[in-house]
Amino acid sequence: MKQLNMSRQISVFLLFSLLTIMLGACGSSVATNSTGPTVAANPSAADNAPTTSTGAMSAAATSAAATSAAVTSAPATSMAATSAPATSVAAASAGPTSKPAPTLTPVPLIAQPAGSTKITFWYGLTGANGNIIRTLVNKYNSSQSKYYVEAIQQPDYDATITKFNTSLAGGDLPNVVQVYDIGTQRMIDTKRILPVQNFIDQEKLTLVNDLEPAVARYYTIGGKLYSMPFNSSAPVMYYDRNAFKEVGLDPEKKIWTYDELLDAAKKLTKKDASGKIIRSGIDFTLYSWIFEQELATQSALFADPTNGRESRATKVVFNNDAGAKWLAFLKQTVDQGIGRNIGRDSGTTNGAVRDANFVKGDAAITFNSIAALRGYINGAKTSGKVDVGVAYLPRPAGAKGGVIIGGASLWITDQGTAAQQAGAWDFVKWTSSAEVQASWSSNTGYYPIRKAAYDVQVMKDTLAKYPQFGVAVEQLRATEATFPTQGAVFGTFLQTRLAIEAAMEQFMTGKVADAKAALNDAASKSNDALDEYNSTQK
Amino acid sequence: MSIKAGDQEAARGNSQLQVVVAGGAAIAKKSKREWQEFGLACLYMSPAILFLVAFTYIPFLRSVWLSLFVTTPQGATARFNGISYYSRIFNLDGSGRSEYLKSILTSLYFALLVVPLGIVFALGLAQLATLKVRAIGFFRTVFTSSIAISVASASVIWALIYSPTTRTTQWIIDLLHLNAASLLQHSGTALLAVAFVTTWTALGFNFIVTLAGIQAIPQELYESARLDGASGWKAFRYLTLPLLTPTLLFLIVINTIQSFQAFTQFNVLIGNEGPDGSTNVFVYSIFTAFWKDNRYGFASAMSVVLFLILLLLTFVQYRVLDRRVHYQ
Repeated sequence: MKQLNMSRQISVFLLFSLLTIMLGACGSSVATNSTGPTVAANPSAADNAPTTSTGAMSAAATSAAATSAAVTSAPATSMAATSAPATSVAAASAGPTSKPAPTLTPVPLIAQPAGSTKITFWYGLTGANGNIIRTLVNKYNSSQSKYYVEAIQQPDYDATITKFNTSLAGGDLPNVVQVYDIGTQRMIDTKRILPVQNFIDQEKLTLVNDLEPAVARYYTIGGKLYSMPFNSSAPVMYYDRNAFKEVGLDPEKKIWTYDELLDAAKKLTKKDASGKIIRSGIDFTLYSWIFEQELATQSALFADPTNGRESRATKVVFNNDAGAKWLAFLKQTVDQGIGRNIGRDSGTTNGAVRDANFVKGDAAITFNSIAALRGYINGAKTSGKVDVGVAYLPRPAGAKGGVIIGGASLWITDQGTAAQQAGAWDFVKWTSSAEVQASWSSNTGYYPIRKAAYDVQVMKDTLAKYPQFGVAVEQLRATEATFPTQGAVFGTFLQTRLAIEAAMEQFMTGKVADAKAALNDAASKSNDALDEYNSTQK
Repeated sequence: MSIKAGDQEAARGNSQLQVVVAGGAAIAKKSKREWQEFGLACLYMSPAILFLVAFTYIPFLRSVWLSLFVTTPQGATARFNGISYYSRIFNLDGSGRSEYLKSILTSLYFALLVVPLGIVFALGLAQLATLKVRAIGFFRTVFTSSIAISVASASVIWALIYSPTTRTTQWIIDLLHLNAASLLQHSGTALLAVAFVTTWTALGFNFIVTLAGIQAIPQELYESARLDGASGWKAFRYLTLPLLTPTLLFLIVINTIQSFQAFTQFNVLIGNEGPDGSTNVFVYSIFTAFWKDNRYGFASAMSVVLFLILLLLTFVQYRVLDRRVHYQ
């Protein structure tokens, strides 16, 4: 009987501890999901943390895994990026979607002078680029004493817009916020935005005429410039000039058609005796951003009507011939053994593997943002094998479109007093000046958004040092102004990108034999989400 | 020795009956002092209860509420949606899309990989660690060490091991003739690779619990077993294992729940749905719905489904396994 009692006690104890753990653990996963927005709205440690790349990941971990794991996951995630050997090569690269960058000591901000009006500024860039933002902010703060900009780093672009949206209810919005290109529609839909066009019109500035036309077009919706472009990039084709020379290809040729590139890749591919690729012609990730660009080079719309430029986009239409052609091209390179699919670009290490392969000379061609140029050149210097060349994105013969800009822009909110709003505009206007843009571009690798920036000496020096950069500018300026090259705006871009990358993979791995069918599936998923999003907007 | 299952059932039935009878009598006769004690107990428990209510039960109920609505990107309810999110998850809406069912199956498959493997490893190591050899403390520390490493850190370590640039696992890729740069990039091996990491990470905890369970078995039993001629494998099979079943049940349930909730390793090692969606476990689907798609209502519905799945699994495990558990 005594034994029995004990066994009862043990089982009861186990039962209770299990129940507690289970309820607690399930509860926390459920709980964080529903309270997620409010939690994020609070100024939590991660939000103000000056170190890079926390937040999204840690918050994510909290929402799903046990809370204890989440606490430690944040620093480790940034470690992942730092320690993976491949990543270091192009860590400085900042494509349209910024990845966690190595942890750097953040540049300290200067203190607020007495009597100044405080402007809150959220930014989503991390690592080296984040530090350059902080340097710029210091420069602005010391250049005048009327306003003081407090720069607050967010974990990344995704987290910035999520936090912005969830802060709407609490009313604790920043005065200025940096938001990525694909967040444009969502920002407008918050209805808390003061279009920069209003300020420009008030002051009768001619600033818009001096903006890089392609960049200005992207942030103009319904004829109104909503946000001030800040860091802009565009995609290019990177190639190894040494390899091109070695196999007798023209290293100066800038525009390649798909067919020409297939031939070139064939020549560039080197295999060992067992047939294993030593140097592949083309290494590529399944990258929705590049897919969108290839639609633009073929003048095909991504969303209807008019890419959402004249009225709200009601459906995505990327499941067209243009999209299928790009997928077919990628598949051909793999099938012919002259290209390698590195996996979805959204994977944690795939982009890094692609970058490493290119700078080590294991791949002769790849596609990425021009913002990666510096990382590539530095990486190539380390390996000593590659001479980095930049060309236009490839296109099918006869295609006449161009590329869409990527990156992020600064949004002014209706938060705070009139003085704060005026200060917000003053700061934003300052960031768009030719001098600031020239210095920003020279330090990062993004385009200057002002044409006048090219007349500034530091920019001239940069172009002389990195002549490859000029090709990207040229490609941008050669782009005709149409709805397809203006880029699509709609509220659910992020999930559409995920759907496209999934579809690309389905096709590349042969799970879906027809490129169109794979894209149809992605489009129907995207449209479900878009319908739901649009139905919540009045 | 262990009581036969049948006897135990009967004995338990009796004791439950007694408890019920006793309880009824107690309520009837509850004196003022007992009520005071009860009130005092409630007072003592109130911090914990308040905490649970505020951070677990209210959010949970709110999730259930949210799951019935379409939400705005700001997380406010936009319109009533009924149970259509639930029918979408279970593919009952006639769309013919079963990616969420597939995601649940992926979770299940992941649990089936992780739980048995983790417990067998832990059992083996724990049995080893009971050996009376010199410096056994050192080995015990080593076996336990992975408990001190968070899942995230472990994932970072393993991300390096799996990274194609370190070529540590290249031999496996060559052996299997995989057409992928790393084990994490092939749809056939990605989930296995993550499962292995998870097993490794959970090993420390599983080992400690198992070892404690083994050490709690009285030595007299082994001594008398030895007199009866049972030692080594026989002692393990007929003595250790049956007496360890309560511990193992505990581990099975805990590990199942944990593997269903595993997220960090997927986020660090893979960072998306994985090659061909092969590592898109249900929690990762929830994460995507919440953080990438900002569909808070849908994510809530998925969370509720996950909760129900775990509740059901735990219940089934108790029902099925408890019959095979031997209490000392």
